[in-house]
Amino acid sequence: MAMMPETREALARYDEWLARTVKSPGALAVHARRLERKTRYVGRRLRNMLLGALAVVFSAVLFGMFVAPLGFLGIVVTALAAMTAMVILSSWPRERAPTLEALPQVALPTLPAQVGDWLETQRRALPAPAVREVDRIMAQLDALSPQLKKLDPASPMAEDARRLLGDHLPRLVRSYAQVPATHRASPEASAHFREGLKVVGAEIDRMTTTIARESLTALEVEGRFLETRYRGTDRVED
Amino acid sequence: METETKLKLDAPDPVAVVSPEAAAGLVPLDEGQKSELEKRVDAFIDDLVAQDANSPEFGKRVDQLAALGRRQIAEAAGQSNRFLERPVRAMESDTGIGADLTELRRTVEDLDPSTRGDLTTRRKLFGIIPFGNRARRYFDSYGSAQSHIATILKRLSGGRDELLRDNAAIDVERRQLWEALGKLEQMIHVSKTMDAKLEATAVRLDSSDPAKARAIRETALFYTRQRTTDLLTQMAVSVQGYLALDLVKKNNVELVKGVDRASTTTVSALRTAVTVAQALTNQKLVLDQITALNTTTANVIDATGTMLRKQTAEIHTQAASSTIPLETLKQAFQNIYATMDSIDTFKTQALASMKTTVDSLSSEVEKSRSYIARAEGTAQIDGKGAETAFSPLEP
Repeated sequence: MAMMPETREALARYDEWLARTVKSPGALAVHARRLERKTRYVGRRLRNMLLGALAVVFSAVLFGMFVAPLGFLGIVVTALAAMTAMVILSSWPRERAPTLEALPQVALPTLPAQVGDWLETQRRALPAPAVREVDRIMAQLDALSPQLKKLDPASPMAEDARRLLGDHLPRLVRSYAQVPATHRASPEASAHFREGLKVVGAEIDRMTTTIARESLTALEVEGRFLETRYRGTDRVED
Repeated sequence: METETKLKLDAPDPVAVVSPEAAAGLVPLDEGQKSELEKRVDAFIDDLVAQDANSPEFGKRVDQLAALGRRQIAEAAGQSNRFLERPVRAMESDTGIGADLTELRRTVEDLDPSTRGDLTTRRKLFGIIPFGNRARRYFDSYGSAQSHIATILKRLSGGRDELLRDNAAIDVERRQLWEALGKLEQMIHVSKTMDAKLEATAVRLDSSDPAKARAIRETALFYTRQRTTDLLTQMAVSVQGYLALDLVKKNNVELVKGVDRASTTTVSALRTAVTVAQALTNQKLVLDQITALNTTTANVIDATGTMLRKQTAEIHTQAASSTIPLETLKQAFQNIYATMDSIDTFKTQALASMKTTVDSLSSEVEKSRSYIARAEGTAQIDGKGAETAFSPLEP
């Protein structure tokens, strides 16, 4: 059934409005993740600053003990140096966003987080409905991440995951972002993009299920073993 | 006198190669599934015929045929890596139990009364001066050997557990493989029905729309036949793997029986020794470690426990009534040797049939892999790897 262009546009506008006002569970999860990341970032900075100041004080104490007494000037210099170290460490080393080229080389356990970070940087370039899809994928990545940590990096499954997350997904997002801004929100481009994201989402789901199934199998084996060992269901007399 | 029924361990026959032609139909589909799948095939063909033969839509549907059963094949092929692992690992794990059994045999041989000369005479220093009691010294050697024997028996029981765990894993794997086989069977049914119906459709279209009839023959029918071959090849390999898993399981069961019997005969010989020592030297031989071990084993392996209790009772009456109690003890040792010999024979036979199975299976798996590689290749060339219109019915 062909849709009138006006209707389609109205629907797209409605979708956009919906995405802006109603937070989907995926978006909420991503929001929580962003918050957590920020907290972790601030924590790391504070730790670095504290360690830097301590290092300066410690070396000043060593200097005072073994080389020459510090004196008033020494204490002032130490205090200044500690402050300088704290200021420098509050912004150095700069957090670098992962680049697309570096993604395929990232170790599998940290890959979902890195891809998530990368998507985060791309997010601003995407129109609202697409952002929702990306948020959903990011929520899925969060679910997949602890399972990938347990996966043997040499297994074909790990290879598949690496290819999907490190190469295919970023490539899709990038080629969408490369569509000129004037055409990006067009129904055609969004349809292609959403279709691609849907496939990626389904694939991530399948991976999560497959990995879960492996541990389920291991559990079933243990149960079956206990049954034969202690109940002897294999025996004829039962 | 025979205190044991003869232990007979049967090595299962090697798994024969399953030909692709014979592979279909091994997993039965019910009529409901068949008619449902046929309905889907009909709908697909109607849809295909409705398209223009040169349109991209027609091409898209042909791509779906080229991808028919791809996921099911990949799934089954992923499992086939594991079938090969199992028999190979089984052959390796045998060696652990084998080493323990050899060690047990060596230890037991040291205790065998028939290698100790005449135990009823007294020892004499320089052949003249009476010096100690041969029998007493002989039974003393049990005391020092018992902890070693107990350790080996514990290890054997650990190995036995490994075998049981292996069998539990095989049970689960076989169940999963059976499901995968069911899915493959459904896809084979789809592709065979598709073949017949496409052929009929092409014949029907020959007069009215010869171009479309040709397109159907050259593309749709061609891919369908290729997929039928691929599916049948994978089915054959998977069925063979399914049978090979059963072989490994049967081997394990036999080996567990062997280990059980070896432990039982050993413990029973030691118990006989206790009785005979009492009769012969009037000394109480204390084999606490073996007794303790035996109680725990007997609780776990109930059948063995019953057998052991019955035997011990028999031995006690024999030893007490027999004029020559040492004969009973010698017989008990013979029982251990007989058990170990039958395990050895079994293992040689089992190893041979396992090797044959692994060899034929690995060549079949190799063959199917090249098919898969081809199928994957086509998917790569096609680009995204078309989504297939057919998936197996959920149970």
